[in-house]
Amino acid sequence: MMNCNEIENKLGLFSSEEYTENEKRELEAHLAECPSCQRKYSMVQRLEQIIVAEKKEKVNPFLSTRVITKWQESKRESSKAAFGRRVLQPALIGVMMLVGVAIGLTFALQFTESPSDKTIRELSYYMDGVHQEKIETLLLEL
Amino acid sequence: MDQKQLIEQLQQGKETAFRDLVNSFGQQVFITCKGFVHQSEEAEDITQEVFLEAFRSIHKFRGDAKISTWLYRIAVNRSLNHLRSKKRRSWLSLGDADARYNEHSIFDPEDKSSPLPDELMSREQKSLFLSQTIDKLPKNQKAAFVLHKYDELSYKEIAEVLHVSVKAVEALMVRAKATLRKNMEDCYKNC
Repeated sequence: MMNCNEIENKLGLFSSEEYTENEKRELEAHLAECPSCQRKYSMVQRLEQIIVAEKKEKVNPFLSTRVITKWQESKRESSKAAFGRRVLQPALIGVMMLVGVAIGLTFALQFTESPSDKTIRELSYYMDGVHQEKIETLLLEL
Repeated sequence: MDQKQLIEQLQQGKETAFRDLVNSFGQQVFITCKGFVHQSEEAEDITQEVFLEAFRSIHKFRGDAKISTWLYRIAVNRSLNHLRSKKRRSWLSLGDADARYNEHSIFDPEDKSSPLPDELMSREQKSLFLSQTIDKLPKNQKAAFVLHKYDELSYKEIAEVLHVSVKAVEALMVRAKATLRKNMEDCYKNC
């Protein structure tokens, strides 16, 4: 006759397929007399039943359609993102660089004296008599 | 279509090949995910993620393992990640746990000698029983247990999925059964 420890080890979990006919008889005889082992055995059985029920459940028949749709969506999104990364981003950087260069050139031209401006200023100095007149004379004439 | 052809077509991005892959392995992957999360909706969402990840990384698959082994590996990783993030979220609602346990005891309050018959157990009670037993297993023991009991894989196949030796799988299963026995004993005292 098996004792509780042997029964517990034998019960293990899901090992019923390993029992011999003799062991099955001994197990049943022990369980009939031992409430503690009976309780453990019923819990093991309950867990087995739950697992069997869960395994029977069928997957949604539309799974493949749902997965393909999601995959196509994610492909579209990733191609959009890739277009942004590969085309729009460099284009934007290029435009910004051009704008920066244009602004720089505009500022640079403002402070650069062209030769023609210099000649005009030199000639106007001699043609303009103001600088030769005394300031007192100018004030008296006003 | 054999595996080699299927992989070639998948790598070429053929939609029919993707559809075939989901139709051939959808049920197996779903059951694996179900073994980890026990909720059909969650298992279905993870199954979708598994196939999307497979589609995205099919070009990395060299074909030296069976395609089912590769899918099982993704399913195990995805399910464990899902459980990890779920556990993180559950910290926020920890206060309600005790109340739920008392409300959904799996034992008949009049007779605590054995759990309620399966047909009398509500969804919450089943969920509580599973959360107190399988869900409390460490992740590597749980992976081995689910692949063996839910997917009926041999120890050799489990070893290939988990990238461990057959001896290691045997050890994991022995430990998983011992942990489950202890968890069930605890459940009897607390549930």
